[in-house]
Amino acid sequence: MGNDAEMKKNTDRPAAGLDMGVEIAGVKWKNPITTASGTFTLRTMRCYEISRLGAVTTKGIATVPWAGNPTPRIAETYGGMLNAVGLQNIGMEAWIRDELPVLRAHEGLPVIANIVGRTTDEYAEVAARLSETDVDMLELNISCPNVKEGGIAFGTAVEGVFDTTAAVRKATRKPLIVKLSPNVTRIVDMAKAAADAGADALSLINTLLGMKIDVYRRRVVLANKTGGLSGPGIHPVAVRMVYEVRRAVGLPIIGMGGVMSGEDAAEMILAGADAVAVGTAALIRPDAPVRILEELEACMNKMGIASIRELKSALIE
Amino acid sequence: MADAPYRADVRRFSTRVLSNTQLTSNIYDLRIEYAEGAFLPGQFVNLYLNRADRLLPRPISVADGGEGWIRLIYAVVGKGTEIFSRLNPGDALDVSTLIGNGFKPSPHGTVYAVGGGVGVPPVFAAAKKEAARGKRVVAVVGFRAEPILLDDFAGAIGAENVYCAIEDASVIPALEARYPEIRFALGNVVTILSQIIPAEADEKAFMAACGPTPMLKALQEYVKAFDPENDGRSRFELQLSLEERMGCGFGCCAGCVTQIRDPQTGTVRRVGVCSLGPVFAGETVVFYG
Repeated sequence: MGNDAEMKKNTDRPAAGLDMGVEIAGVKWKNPITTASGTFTLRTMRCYEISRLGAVTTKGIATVPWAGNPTPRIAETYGGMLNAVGLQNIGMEAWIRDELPVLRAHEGLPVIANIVGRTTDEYAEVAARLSETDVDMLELNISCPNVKEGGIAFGTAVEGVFDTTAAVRKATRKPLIVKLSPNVTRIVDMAKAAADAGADALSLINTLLGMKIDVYRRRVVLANKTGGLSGPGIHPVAVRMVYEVRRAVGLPIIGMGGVMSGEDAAEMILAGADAVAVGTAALIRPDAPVRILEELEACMNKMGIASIRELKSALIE
Repeated sequence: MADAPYRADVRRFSTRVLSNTQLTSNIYDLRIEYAEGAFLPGQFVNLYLNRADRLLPRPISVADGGEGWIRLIYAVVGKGTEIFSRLNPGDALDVSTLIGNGFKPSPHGTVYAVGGGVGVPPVFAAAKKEAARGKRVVAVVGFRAEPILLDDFAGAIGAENVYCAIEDASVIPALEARYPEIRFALGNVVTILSQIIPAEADEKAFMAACGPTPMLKALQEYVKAFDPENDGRSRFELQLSLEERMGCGFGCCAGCVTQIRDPQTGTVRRVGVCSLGPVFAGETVVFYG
């Protein structure tokens, strides 16, 4: 708690002279903070000024609208939450027509479109269609645990990661981020497969597969039975995986998983991330991403570190 | 971009408890300091526990409000609400700005405010507001055994306009003695509606409802029978306030969806209860199962 109070004081101070800019696969971000897919909608614009973000990452976009899973889709857990939304989305044509222009109106804000599919062809089709737009980057979601086909089915086997990434790589020239699942024995193998198949960057981690049972009702809480665990409880897993992947693969990394504060974001970057996505925190505190950005600046001031580049190489081993 | 400085309309901030009193064995009446007392009936706020084991908000509908305060009536249904039940005056509490689309104002002269259990508070808010707008308001509320807000209803719309359904026959004599001007009936809200609404009446009326899903389903069916022009349009304009387990409670997680039929195209879509509701036109709601 003492730390929090100190942090608050620092937050009020302007972050003079800090170089927060990063470059991810050739795309310049003014700071390293983005949104984690599935926690950003156009309604986020009512929570904070999204143009303050380094980049914005959308919810998964498919070829056609998906209805998602039945409810309950959400369960609370110690230090986090389970979700089984099941990639409900409006489909690529509606997204391009209704949402992309709204995001594009924010000057200097790179837009990362998260793409999903049931088959390799569907992933490639979304990638190809979005490549006709001025979207800045694509994030390939092969790690959603809440859909029966696609998603994690591709992301938990080396061949699946390689084949899906390769198919999408063939379909697009846009900078391609591959989002990795933590539900694997060796995440480094998945990272290498994505790199070998032509990924430009990696994002990790997606949610951890979990389940919650209501003891007194003696029922599984989520209609889908299982869901993806997110929130501060998974942060150490994410830090460990970013650390491992950083030492195995040279690609830029967007680190995510339970980032709740500026110090958590700094931890991700020290572990080897080039940028940081905020997800569950933004569902609990509506302005969390910009708050965490301010806290990260305060944290860097406190550490005596002047740039994200410097922070990334500051881990003492 | 606009010159005006950006101001978020969804925010989380700390406020203070004014009072927290027990109404029934599991229902509590919480008043908190709240600068924006002007709410729309049906709107809710998120209450936060600030605990590692309870990170998600508890969305609670606003029952009443005034200069600098709002009133939130909640049932203890789990650990989170149990923690709220121990709040004392002066305690700090994290809360969100007002969220959701409330009941729209009645275009008709008569309003039926229909509520069940802990769904009654937002319906009370609607009844009070419509009465203040000069509408004739009839309240039909249902409880298993322990009614809430009956004095409040009587004060806002007149005791002669308050009807209360009770499922447990054994408690009715005591309730009748305690509230001599309010009429009680054994059964549910539809039992009472069937008694008080003449089948042949054709005047248009507004019906604001909130309660358990079986009750809302029953109301959806009930109003269909009143079709004076035989055109498939009920004389009751039904508005339903829905409940669903929420994640964020402000439209960013797609957790709390309900199925809504587009009246023009007939297409059923899953939409967020927190962002596009919680109040929906009654005939558009497609209940699960």
